[in-house]
Amino acid sequence: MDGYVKFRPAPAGRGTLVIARVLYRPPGGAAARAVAKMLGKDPKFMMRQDLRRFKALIETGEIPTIDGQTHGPRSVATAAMRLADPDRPIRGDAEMREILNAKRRIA
Amino acid sequence: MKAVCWMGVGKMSVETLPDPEILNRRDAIVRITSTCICGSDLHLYNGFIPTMEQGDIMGHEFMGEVVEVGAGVDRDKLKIGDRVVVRFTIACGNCFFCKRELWSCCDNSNPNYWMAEKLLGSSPSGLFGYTHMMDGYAGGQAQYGRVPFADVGPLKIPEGIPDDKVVFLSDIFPTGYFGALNVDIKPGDTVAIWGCGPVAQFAIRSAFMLGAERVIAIDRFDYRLRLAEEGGAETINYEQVGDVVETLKDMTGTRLMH
Repeated sequence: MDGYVKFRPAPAGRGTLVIARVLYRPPGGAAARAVAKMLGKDPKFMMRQDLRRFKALIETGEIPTIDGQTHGPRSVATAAMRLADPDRPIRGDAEMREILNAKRRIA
Repeated sequence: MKAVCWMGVGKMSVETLPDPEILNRRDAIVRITSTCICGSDLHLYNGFIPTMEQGDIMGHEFMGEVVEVGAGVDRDKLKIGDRVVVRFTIACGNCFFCKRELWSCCDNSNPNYWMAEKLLGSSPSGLFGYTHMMDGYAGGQAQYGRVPFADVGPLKIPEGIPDDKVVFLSDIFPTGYFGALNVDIKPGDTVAIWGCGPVAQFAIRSAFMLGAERVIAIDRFDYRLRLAEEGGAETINYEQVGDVVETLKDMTGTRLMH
């Protein structure tokens, strides 16, 4: 892994631009990359999420989260997905596929 | 505590759950004294908006008493014992948008922004009890609620004003007010409002607050029209007139401005 992070003043006192460039070749080639995307572990998407969390932490002093909040009984499928990947927004069935497609497009 | 949970399309249930806890430094816990069911909760009930999860706690219009505050909450702004109406948009107070008082556009409070961007084009702030694309914050149709960024959103309410006079500040009154604000009412204007549901009732009253001389409210339900009259509006029952526009012209001499 290689890369850099730049901090640059934004125009007209609008804060700081943070630019991150990370060179990372995930192991396993194209097939592994496709699987990683399906699981929400696409490196570009994860990088973007990290930057958002960093921005939130710097601006607000904390990283917004619902992890640990009280909730009603989850379905078995939801509970399993949450357990497998706590970072992933919870959703089963067709809507989750729709959202994963969105994530792939953004990434 | 008891809370109203979304358990699937068309399925709601009251569940007994653990009380909410402080998760972040700027959180507060509120003992909820009044809460509302929003018309937009029906979209979730009927399954029109994706990314609800079984077990999600409903409700984004609530108020109550602060019973716990996190270490990062500015005590000058919020402390234990304060009585507050909680605004339904969750705003950090620090970001580009919050500094311009565009609270509903806060770009820190919704880590699931990318889901909303896909479905809506751009993402609003996080919302209480309103899908995981608004980050799935637990809602306020419960006995207790966790309020993130508690030194920004909650409005402090003085003692002596009953809940039902102020709870509408959480969402529906500002919604009606915003509708009235958007038509740029000048003193002396006449305003016609189509529909007399709850949001319109607030729009009627807001139009007068903004200087309207006459408000003409249009609906077909007598009980709604009566409530509009109580708010000072003239009314048209569109099932009883031939042509609403002609009726409006007759009532106003065509000087209907909005």
